[in-house]
Amino acid sequence: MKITKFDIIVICLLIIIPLFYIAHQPNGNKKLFLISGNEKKEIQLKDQIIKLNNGDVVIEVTKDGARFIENNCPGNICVKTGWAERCGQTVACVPNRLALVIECEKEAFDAVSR
Amino acid sequence: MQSPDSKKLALTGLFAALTVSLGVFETFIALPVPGVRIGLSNVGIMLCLYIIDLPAAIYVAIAKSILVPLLTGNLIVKMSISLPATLAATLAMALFIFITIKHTSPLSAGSVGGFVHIIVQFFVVKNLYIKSDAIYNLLPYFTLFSVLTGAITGYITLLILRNFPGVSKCTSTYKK
Repeated sequence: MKITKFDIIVICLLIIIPLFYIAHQPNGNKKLFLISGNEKKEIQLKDQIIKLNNGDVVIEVTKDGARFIENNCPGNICVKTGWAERCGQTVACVPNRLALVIECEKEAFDAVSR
Repeated sequence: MQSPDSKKLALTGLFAALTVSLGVFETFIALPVPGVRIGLSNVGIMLCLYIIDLPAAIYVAIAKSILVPLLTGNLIVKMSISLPATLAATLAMALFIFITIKHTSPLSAGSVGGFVHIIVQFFVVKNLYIKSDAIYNLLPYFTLFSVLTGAITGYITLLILRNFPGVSKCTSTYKK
């Protein structure tokens, strides 16, 4: 059994698909959203601390982004993930059904030349 | 005399044990991205697909997705995400191997498995836990990782199949 050309083609194809989506993220005005279960609400991007679930979950928000600083979920993956700052970045805590999402509007123009 | 069936059963059990222990072991391997694991247990499932048959691989996949969460904690969440994803990945790999066995090696089968696994995981998370399309923002990054780690586990499987011909020989009695 050997590695064949077809193997390389399949792997390249599977790598190109996600890369295509990563390259096509919109980059307009940033908006921060907190998703908990079915709800989605916007949070203003300014320096603040948000406490949820009786203080078990603590979220730090700055003008650039947001992160979980405390969470009572097993594994604490969301805390280790760190900041959500750029367009499309998401920090998710699956056991507590929480996620921080930065969404950006699509800009009307790709570029403006003068 | 040993019947082919008892050999098959013993081998399935062996691969199930391998899969589960690799699944538990890999929770101790930290990768730079939080929440990402190599998916070493996929090696056992792929060996099943290549050496035994699809039903055996499905038994091993079910054993893996129930026993690994049981041993590593956070049972319900992990099991609900892992079971459909592992089964879907196993079926996808079986289909891929069945169609392209003459032209491919486990390397690409592993990456196909990783690709399907991560997409089904995100689908389950979106429908059961975080009910927002925003969660799909993360998908491309995780898919990239998943295809690469799938290729790694595929390569490990390839090395095992290549270097231990005895493993595949012991099933040759009943394999068509």
